[in-house]
Amino acid sequence: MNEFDMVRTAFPPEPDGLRRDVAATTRNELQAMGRKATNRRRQPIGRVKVGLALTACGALVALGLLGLPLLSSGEGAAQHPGVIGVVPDGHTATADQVLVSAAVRQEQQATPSGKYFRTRWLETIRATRVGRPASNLERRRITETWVPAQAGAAAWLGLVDLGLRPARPSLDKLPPDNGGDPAFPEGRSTSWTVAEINALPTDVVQLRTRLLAGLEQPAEADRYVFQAAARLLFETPASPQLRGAALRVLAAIPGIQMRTGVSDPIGRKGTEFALSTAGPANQPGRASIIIDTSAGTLLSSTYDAKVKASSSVLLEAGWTDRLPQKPSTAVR
Amino acid sequence: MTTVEAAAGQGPPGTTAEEDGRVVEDSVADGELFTLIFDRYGEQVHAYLARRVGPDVAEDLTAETFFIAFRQRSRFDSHVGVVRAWLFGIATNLLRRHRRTETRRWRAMAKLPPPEIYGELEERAATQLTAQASRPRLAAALARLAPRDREAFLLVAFGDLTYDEAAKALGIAHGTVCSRIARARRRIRESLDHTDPRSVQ
Repeated sequence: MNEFDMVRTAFPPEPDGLRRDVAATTRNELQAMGRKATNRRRQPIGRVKVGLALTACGALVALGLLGLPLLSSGEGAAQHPGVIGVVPDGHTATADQVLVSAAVRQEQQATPSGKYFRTRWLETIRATRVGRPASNLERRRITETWVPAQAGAAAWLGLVDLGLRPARPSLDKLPPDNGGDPAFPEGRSTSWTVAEINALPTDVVQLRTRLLAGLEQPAEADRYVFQAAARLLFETPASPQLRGAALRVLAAIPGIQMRTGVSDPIGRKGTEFALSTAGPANQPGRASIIIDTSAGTLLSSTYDAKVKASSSVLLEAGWTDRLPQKPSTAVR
Repeated sequence: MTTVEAAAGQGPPGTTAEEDGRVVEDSVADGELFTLIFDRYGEQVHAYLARRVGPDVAEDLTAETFFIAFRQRSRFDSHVGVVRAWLFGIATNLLRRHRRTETRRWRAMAKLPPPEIYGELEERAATQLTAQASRPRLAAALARLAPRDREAFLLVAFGDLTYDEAAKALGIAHGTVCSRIARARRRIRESLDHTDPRSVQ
């Protein structure tokens, strides 16, 4: 009997396997994650995450500094489609004007710095159906991404589930991809690495073309670009120039609607930019992002379709010199 | 080191490594397919974890293993390794956060009296008996192993991975795994050969 057999025999498997209820909970959760991921792909979003994301850093700060306060104006919007707000001197501002102005401000920002670009999210998804008759449950979890500024350093992904399972925070080191370039954490984002983000073009036309790469349904191009540009802006440590370009790409999309006084999923008020598609895709839907214009921060991104809705609420984002740690369960 | 000590990573009957790989790759487009991977390997991953840190911690770590695997499924490359070894690699990474729990557990086992043996002493059972009688010494030896040597050894002993699969699961070279396991085996062998009571505690 060799050492392997000795150890195997001396310490046989525990008589009780994985408890049935624990296995069922884990399986259900995986199924919900799988369904969410699949639906995301079935939307024209492709590799792009449904829940767009936003950061306090840069772009949204720029919106707050625009000098174009977005005052509520429901009637104005009704009378003039596309008009979303009225500035104090009586001029109206449209979504594209606001976004282009934000781009200009953005491009003047200094490149922020820190050891990690950290984002903290509350994600909710209506997915799990339980009981009879079946009713929907909302699953909530906190996700934190830590993307290192330094090439070759590890990225980290923190998770704590607030949903059906008891909360137990985790913090996982993510293996570097592509020969040492830190991989951008999955689950909260993209297949882009930091190096790939840095290599994205800052020319508006070129950037739009790059964001559309891999899209199979040209009819869905605008919504695809909306999601991709917003995600680039708010989820990634993009440079100010790239953020500016992404804002210009957004501004160039026809049909973006702006609405003031909208509540995000945790009740914070902001201004919403939205794009609806009644298109030929199997599920028409509406993607939107909500920005707090007084503080200049992004609040949430939401995707609504007939079948299901999911949202990502940005709790914190920005560069930090702190080291990665397990996420807390606080929602704010 | 020429013979592989463990049966090559076995999936449940009727499944092949290639089929597993296809399921994971297809699950990138159809996420719900990934539940098949849990159905196939949930028990095995839990059994491996439970033998190292006990069934309670293992429950949480099993779930975490599959959640992480799900999120990283697009990175799985069936040309590089098999799904089972990939899952055990993730589980082993998670166990590193529970190193103290594991060491405490081995030390506690080292202090337990050898289990009493009931039944007949058939020849086939004799070796098992020896192994069980050596349990305190083995546990003490496992507790004293360098964590890296222990995890490589236990991936083969409890995870039934081949040396090659263990290397891929740990993301290290084949030769490195061989030397870590060889060192672990030597220490375990020494702990059994020694009559010095200090080596047993």
